[in-house]
Amino acid sequence: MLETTLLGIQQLASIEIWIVLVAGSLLGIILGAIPGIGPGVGIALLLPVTYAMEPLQGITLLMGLYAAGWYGGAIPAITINTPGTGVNVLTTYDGYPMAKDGQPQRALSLAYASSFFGGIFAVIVLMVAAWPLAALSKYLTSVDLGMAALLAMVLVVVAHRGAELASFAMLGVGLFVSTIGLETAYGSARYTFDTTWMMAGVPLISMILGLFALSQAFSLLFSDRKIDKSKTEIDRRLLGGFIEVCRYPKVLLRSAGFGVGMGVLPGVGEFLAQFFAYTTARSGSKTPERFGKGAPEGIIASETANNAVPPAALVPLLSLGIPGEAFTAMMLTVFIVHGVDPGPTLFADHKDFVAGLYVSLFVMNFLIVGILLVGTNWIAKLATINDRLLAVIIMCLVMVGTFSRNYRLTDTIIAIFFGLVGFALRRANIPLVPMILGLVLGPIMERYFRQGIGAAGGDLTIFVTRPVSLVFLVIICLLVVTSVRNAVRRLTAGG
Amino acid sequence: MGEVNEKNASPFGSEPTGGRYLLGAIFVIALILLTLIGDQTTPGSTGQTEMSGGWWAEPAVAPAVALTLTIVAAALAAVSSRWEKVDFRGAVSVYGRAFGVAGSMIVAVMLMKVLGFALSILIFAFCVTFMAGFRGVRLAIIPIGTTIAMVLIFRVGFAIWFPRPMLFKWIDIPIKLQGLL
Repeated sequence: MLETTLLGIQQLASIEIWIVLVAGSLLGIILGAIPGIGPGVGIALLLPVTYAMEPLQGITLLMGLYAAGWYGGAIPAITINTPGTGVNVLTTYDGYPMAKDGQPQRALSLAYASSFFGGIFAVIVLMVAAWPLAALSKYLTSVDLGMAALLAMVLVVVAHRGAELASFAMLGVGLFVSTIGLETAYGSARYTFDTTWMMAGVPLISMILGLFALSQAFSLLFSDRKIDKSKTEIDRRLLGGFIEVCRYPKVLLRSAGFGVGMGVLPGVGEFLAQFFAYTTARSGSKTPERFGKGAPEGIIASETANNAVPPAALVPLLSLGIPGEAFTAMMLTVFIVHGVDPGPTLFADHKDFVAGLYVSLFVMNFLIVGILLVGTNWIAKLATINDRLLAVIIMCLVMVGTFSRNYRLTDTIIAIFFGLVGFALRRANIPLVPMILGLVLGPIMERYFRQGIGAAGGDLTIFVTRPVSLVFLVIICLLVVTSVRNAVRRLTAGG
Repeated sequence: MGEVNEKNASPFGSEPTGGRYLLGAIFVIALILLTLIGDQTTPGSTGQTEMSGGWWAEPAVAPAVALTLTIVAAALAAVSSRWEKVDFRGAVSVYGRAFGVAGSMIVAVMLMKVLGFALSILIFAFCVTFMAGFRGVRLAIIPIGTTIAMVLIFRVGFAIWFPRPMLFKWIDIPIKLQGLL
């Protein structure tokens, strides 16, 4: 551990890393604090930029956006009762009543301190857990890893309760899109319709920018959100929460535990983590009646759990090469572009990268808190920016971002196509995340299954004769059967 | 906010959203694509003569699995969703504006090779600002401000190269300025 830490500190001795650390943290806070944007749009917009960077710089920048976004999202949740990002919804329950009660500084300070604790706790877990998991994964065969990728996708789908069937359909769409283009085993052009520009497949950047950024810009263009500008004045006394959270050690630890546990599991993430943390904090509180009316434990539970998720979500990505949700799926593309294989070999071949990432994540939490302590008053005002103005800016960024990759009009047209598709899906409340996951994990799963089944000479019993694969298969079957049964029940209950 | 919608809300919530029709369209498109699978996944279609692997490596396997999943899930999801009355006039208005923005983006990208980076962004930003409902001074300030920001980010900050537009062959402006615009 000491060796890793020292190696990581060595990686930080570069001005470029510090620039991306500060830029990622600052941008993440800003994008998180503006309701309607969130880190997803930011990650999509910055993805093309990170391809030109070293892997550590690129991943650090994206992780900065991801982690700092949740910190920043608490600001409008507390000050104007509008969560900056979806995962800050529960913070409004107690943060806003506390602010309305004349204590916005206390609410913000508690949110920052809890987020900080959750973030640091999760980084330590990442440092401890990722390497042993990666070491174990050396013993996994292609069949096991393919099945693990399939399990991750199924978990993500079933996490969309009430929308499992639609999620399965979107997963299928993502998997199909990932097959378009030239495949190597038989030298076939799949679904290219005899066009040359589709031979390289659907450009991932265009698709991600379309689905995440452009579709959100379309939604913002038709937004009529009303803002109360008078509620965004905050003074700078924001350190009190760092002492106050220490009075609730059980809530802190339990919530961080939920955040880490849910972060590691694909598809579960912040929503379930904060839900469990919040309900457990309420049931364990001596004053449960204060929840929803400005209880400090409510803010602590929600924010600690949220911020423990991003570093924990890196555990399956780094150790198995399998992302559990859209943000880490986008990060996986950075690894792919640089020819770095996440998984067991990453810890052996790229020790410096892993160590650098650990330390930069650690430092990032201090940086974010520092920025927030100094700039909260200014950042809080960002929540009042007109949504339609944001739409104009995002659209210009998408246009330049897609065209500047290859200077091809088709890349922009693909982004526009997926932007319109994403816009329609958002309006219909059909989940987008399974589509992205299918797109990123599809080729990985196909490769593993081809290798695994090929090694077994086409014998499909390999899936049940390998113990790890069998366990994954049983879990997948149980999850699918349960979600289909629930869907049928809802259908019959609805007449 | 989008994440809330994505993860928490049912696709078949209380608001009429058109989810059933969208899933129906996905079903139909996937079905058509599946019927084309033989033609669109011919082994060796790029001229490779040496084949490797067995049935598991056939190019049609992965798209077939993906399309079958899409067809079955989209059909079940569409059938199990509640009947909804969609305001088609409202939908046409919203999607009409979205298509308008999309069209202006395509035109702006095409104009980049003629007018250059800054002027194309300016025209596009003006169109979107107008479609977003801004009028008066803001209709001028927003596109100009956005264009300056884009030039600073992409041309000055990241120094991203763009093809030399035809406009600069016709009018004589300093090379340094050409690099920015």
